[in-house]
Amino acid sequence: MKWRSTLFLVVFLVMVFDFSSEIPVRLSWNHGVRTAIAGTKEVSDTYCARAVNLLEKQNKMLSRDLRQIKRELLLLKTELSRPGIKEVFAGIGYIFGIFGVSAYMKARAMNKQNRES
Amino acid sequence: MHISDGVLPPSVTVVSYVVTAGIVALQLRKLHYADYPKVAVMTSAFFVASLIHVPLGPTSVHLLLPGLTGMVLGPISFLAVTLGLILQCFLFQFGGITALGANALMMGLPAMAAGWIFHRFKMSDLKWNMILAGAIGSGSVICSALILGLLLYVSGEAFWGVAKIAVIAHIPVAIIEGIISASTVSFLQKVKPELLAVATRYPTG
Repeated sequence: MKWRSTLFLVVFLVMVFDFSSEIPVRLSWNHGVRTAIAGTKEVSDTYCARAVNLLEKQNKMLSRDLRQIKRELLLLKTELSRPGIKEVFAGIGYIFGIFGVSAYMKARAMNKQNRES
Repeated sequence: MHISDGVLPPSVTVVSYVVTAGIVALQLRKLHYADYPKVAVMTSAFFVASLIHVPLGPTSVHLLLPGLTGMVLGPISFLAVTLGLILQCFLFQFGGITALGANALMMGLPAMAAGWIFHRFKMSDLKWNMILAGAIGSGSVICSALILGLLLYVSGEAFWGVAKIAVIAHIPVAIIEGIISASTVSFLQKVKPELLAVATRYPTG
């Protein structure tokens, strides 16, 4: 039974708080209070619009910046994937190394042959 | 002009690998130890040449130098081309590892043909040799473009479409290579003519 009473309490509280914004309007037969509330509503509306406007502007700026950064990243990636001077010399070194080792093997074999004969 | 991974079907890949390995094995047996330095130098030249890019509209193509390699090295140029392509593949990420055999065939066969034609028709006349070298340098590039078209045709593309695109894209490269081949050959003939003398090792030359 306990959760049922808790649920009831929660529903009641929600209702109270939901209507609480209307309570002053309902209770007050005074015209001044009504206009005052209406005025604050308008003010908050303009604030909201301004804030939304600002946020949209910032969003636009941010997305533009992001696009630019992405573009730069892509550029950097292609730049990095392009072989540099390091790879060139590495390749030349490999080629000369391979032929050097094979020449060395050949020379050793020929030396051996000479010694045997 | 490198074929990437996944373009060719497995059958073409395997066949091209086998053919390449066979030619390389034959040439390794044929390789004379006195030629080691020459092969090494030409291999590095071939390896580095692919970094020289020629801007062409939105894209760019690079030098290939199969003609010059073939003319200087003769029948063993296939070995140099294959080694250069292996290193380009691993260091520059040019072309895929699985397409290595096809790439080697594409560049190596024109190189061998270029060497054979050059040593068959060369004379002592410098001007004639220059013209011959220029024509061979250009022709070998066109020839590799045609082999590329053929390889793609075997893997199911329309031959003329691919070949046309490849040949048109490589016409500027062919012209530049012709000039480079002609000037290099004339320079070699003037300065070090023995570098161009490999004709004796040809069975028919």
